[in-house]
Amino acid sequence: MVFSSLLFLFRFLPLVFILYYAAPRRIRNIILFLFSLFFYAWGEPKYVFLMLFSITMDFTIGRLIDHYRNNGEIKRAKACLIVSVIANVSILIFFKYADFIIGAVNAVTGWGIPLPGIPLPIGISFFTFQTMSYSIDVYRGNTKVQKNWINYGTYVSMFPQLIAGPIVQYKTIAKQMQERRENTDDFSAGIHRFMIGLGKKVLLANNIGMLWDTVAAIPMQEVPVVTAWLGALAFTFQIYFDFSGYSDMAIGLGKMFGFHFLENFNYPYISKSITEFWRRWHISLSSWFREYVYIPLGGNRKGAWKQVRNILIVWLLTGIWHGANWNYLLWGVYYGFFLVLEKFVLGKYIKKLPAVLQRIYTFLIVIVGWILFKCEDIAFSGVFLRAMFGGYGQGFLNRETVYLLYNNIFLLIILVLGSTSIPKNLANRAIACFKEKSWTVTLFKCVFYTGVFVISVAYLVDASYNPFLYFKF
Amino acid sequence: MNKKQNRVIIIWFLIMIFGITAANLMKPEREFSERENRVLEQKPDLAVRYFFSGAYSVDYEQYITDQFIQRDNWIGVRTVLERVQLRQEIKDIYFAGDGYLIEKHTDTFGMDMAERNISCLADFMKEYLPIYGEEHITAMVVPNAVKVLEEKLPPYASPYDEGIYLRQIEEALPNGTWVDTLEVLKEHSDEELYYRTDHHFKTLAAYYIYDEWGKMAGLKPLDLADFEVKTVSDEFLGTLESKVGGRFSGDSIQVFIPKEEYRYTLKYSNSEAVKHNLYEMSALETKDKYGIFFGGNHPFVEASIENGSMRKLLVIKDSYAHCFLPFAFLDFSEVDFVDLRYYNESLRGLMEKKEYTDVLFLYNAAGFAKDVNLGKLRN
Repeated sequence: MVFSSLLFLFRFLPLVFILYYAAPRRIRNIILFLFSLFFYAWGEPKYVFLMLFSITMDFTIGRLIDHYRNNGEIKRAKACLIVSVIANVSILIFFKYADFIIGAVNAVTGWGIPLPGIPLPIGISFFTFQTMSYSIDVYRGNTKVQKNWINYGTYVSMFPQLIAGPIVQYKTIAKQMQERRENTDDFSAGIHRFMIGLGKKVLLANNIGMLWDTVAAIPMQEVPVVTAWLGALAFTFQIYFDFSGYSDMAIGLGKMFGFHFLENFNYPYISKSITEFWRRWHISLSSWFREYVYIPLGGNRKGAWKQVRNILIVWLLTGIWHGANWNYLLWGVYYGFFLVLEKFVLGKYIKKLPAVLQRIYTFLIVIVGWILFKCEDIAFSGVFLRAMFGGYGQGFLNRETVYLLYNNIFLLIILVLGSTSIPKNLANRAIACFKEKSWTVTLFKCVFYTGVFVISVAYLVDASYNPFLYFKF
Repeated sequence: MNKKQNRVIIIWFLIMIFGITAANLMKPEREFSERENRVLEQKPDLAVRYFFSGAYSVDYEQYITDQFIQRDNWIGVRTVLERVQLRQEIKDIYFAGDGYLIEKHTDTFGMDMAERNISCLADFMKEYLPIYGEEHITAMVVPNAVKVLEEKLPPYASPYDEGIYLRQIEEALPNGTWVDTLEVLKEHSDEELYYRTDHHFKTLAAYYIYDEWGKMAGLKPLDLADFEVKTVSDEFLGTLESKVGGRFSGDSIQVFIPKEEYRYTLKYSNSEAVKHNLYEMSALETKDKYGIFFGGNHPFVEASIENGSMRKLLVIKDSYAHCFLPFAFLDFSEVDFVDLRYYNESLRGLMEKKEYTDVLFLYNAAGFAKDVNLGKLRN
């Protein structure tokens, strides 16, 4: 099930609201847990048991780790932790990477091991990382153990963040499992986030995605430079608005149930360096890797060479986390390379440039990166990049370029503005003019939400195109 | 925001969600969408195995979308918004000049199927040309509006040039079998050759290609003046309008009634019906008014015409031919037409049995390129 669907908006959501808020506080987690399991089972009727298994396993291990720690048996606690990590990673490898690994082995050795072709459970990359964060933090003493299976299960499977994040580390919401208090401020803020996210996904991302599809379908050898860049730009915006929109909806929904999740995106496309980009893009993932891989490996505290090694390891993993394919690995290494470059060589020179150039430098690297990311066939990304840099001698633009440009210019302008904090700042200033307490602001908000909602529903009803890009995770 | 204002926002939000949900639950279910010309998904029954296979979820979501309240009108919202942004095409349909909706036909002509179909047709023509002789076996693949009305397309629009594809077909076919309909239609492109809201061409266009074909087939095609042109409807909103919604004034549909009328007997293979009328007037009460021509698609229809002709024609066709066929009735005492999408018998057997004197292959370019049934030409 996805948030941006008629099913979710007009069956699931009303039902969960009624039951959750009608229920006494003590059983609200149970309601949330059950609905979340149903939400997951809707798309994965068989794999819901896998998730229950994963929940139960890490719940039990968490309690064991805690028990051994309290008894001072650190070695046993560590063994349990290792079991948890290995089990979770194994599950991930088995369900997600089996075909890839076997394919690689076949390619290298020439054996013809048949690919198992196991269907990928949705969200497995998210929930295995969440459960691992729990085990590690209990071991480290960074969080109290959760003694209630329901509460733990609710944390792992919570439908707002189950399918596509943000990756919520247990310790950030540990207290919220029992102590959250739903309130009108949060609910209202949640509605705001949810609407923004819905609009970003249905009205912006899905739409600009069509431009990418159009360009990608043209034989690349016939594509002039500007058309290729339009296509690349289209995907660049599509993935941002798609993913951040989904995160907005997740955070908004969380608020409606009294949860506060951390932000996952912070206007990444205004970044002035790649280093900054990764502090603004998919923040929950880079935080996870920093916390649980980079720092344990020594981070930057063991000398320059170790730091380079650590960065590259983390980025290799980040890349492959995104997909079981060589191009994702390449994409990860691509960023690892730039991060190392910035840290040790370019960093100080870039900082001296005017802000505009810094942003252009960063944005160009990001756009090229997205081509590597999007084209699972590395040969195709080579072809596309070649077209982007005029390698096929098709010139700068042709009739079709002009056509594509004026057909999409409004949308592109909106997307560019939407990638910055300009709309938000303008809105805040307008609100300040009305001195917040005015009912006019409330009216405008209602009108805005209604507009976004109604138009999004129109698009959903008409859906000829509603894929969710990060769904393979 | 103070608490009361937040509460108002929350209440409004809940009203929207619950209101639309309730409206949907209370709405009676529709079985068929005239506009989309398809059966609408009904509520699936929940069963364990059905759920665990994942099929239930898919069907249920389809059911919700199909039964959504005011479904047909929501589509119009999107069209308006896209047009406001200067978008010139929606769902592969151009919003062209003079109020025309013109299909773009992306991913149609460059594909393998398009190439294969040319071979299928060429093989068929080469095989039967010696049997029927020149002038008696011909092929017409009619260009679509996207080519004939190219001046009306939005500025800088760059669809695939159907002319290229038609030339490929011409080159593959044996000499003397190809009728160049593109040239004929181009000459008259300032007249109303295509519907504004439907993918078919108008009866006038069918007349022009009949005229061109008639000369090649050794017939004496009638002049325009020999027909009484009757407008049977002014409110036709066709397939393209169904796809994009929005407000359009209706198309007019003409029938060309020859001054000298004959008696027709039509036998429909799939219903044992025998009719004497070419025009299914009841179609004018439905959305798909183009169905007035023979009532739409049939696998095989045998038409006998009492006009004293010695020639018998077999037409292998798609729906573009429907408004063309009445013209063919003038010169043949028997006109049988076959739609390969639905006809599964042996074509060869049919041709041997009925002893036709003439064979005509008539398709529209996009339909021809995409058709998956042309292998049946070998049957």
